[in-house]
Amino acid sequence: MSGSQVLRFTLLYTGLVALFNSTLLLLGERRVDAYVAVNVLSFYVSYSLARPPTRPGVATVVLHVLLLTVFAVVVTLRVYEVLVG
Amino acid sequence: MNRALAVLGVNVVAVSVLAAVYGLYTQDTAILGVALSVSLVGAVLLAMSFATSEAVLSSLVEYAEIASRALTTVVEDLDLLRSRLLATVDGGEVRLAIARTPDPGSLGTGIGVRYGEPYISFPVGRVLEGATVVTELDGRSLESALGSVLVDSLGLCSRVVTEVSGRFVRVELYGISRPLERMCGMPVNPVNVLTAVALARVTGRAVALVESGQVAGGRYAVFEVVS
Repeated sequence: MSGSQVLRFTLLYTGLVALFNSTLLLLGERRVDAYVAVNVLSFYVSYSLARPPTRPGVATVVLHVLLLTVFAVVVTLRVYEVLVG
Repeated sequence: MNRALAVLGVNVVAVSVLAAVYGLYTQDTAILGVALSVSLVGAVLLAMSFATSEAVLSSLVEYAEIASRALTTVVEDLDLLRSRLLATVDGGEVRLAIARTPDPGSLGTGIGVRYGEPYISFPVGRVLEGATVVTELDGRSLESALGSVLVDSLGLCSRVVTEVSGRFVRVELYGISRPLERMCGMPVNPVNVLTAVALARVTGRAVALVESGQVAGGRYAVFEVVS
């Protein structure tokens, strides 16, 4: 049933985010972008493992564009930092 | 739209904003990082609430459309387009009929001809059995009982308004579920059928659909209480 598919995705995604956030916090990570980048990765891992039934529309496109843009910005800044510094 | 997911998303965003404010206030970038991460979770849940669809619901809607089209073809073939949709309750069981006769009780099951007039009649079982039965036909109690069935139980629409005038009951449905609204153009559609069955249930009498159409923001149907 799709209701359970959405539930499975939500549980997996929030579970992964909680796990990674706690791990990063316990490791003493202070960089904000690390938390955000890992979150985006958690989303795509959850999305590929428990893909909820989505209907094509603006919300889906906006979500993917937002997440990929955030991830691209975070990675670009980090690469730029490495190259410059 | 998945309302539960939307509410969850908004709450998660609200909590993450508070955490972000606290992180900024204490200059703790770790808390700020967790807050931004959690706000992203909220945004994802909010977006998913608009993007996800109930696959089973979609299947049922498609099936309802197929069934409506099949029944419409039979209705057209039997020249019953200008007939009435009748719903009767007999011994807890609901029977639906599409016929020109005013007496639905006299119709047998299936497709047949009575007094030279074709009809379709079929039992639909004990659907909506838990509906509140009103003893008197007054607008307010009928509206409350129909609202309980059509809005709370079935989620067919968001508001029901009824008006009783003698033997006639006018039911106005506002905020009809979009997939069902799409089918309202068909002679036999789920909205009219479910409203007829619900009205027959709550009144405990046979009802016949006399007229239906659109009103601003919804649809109306006028039923005659036959017995």
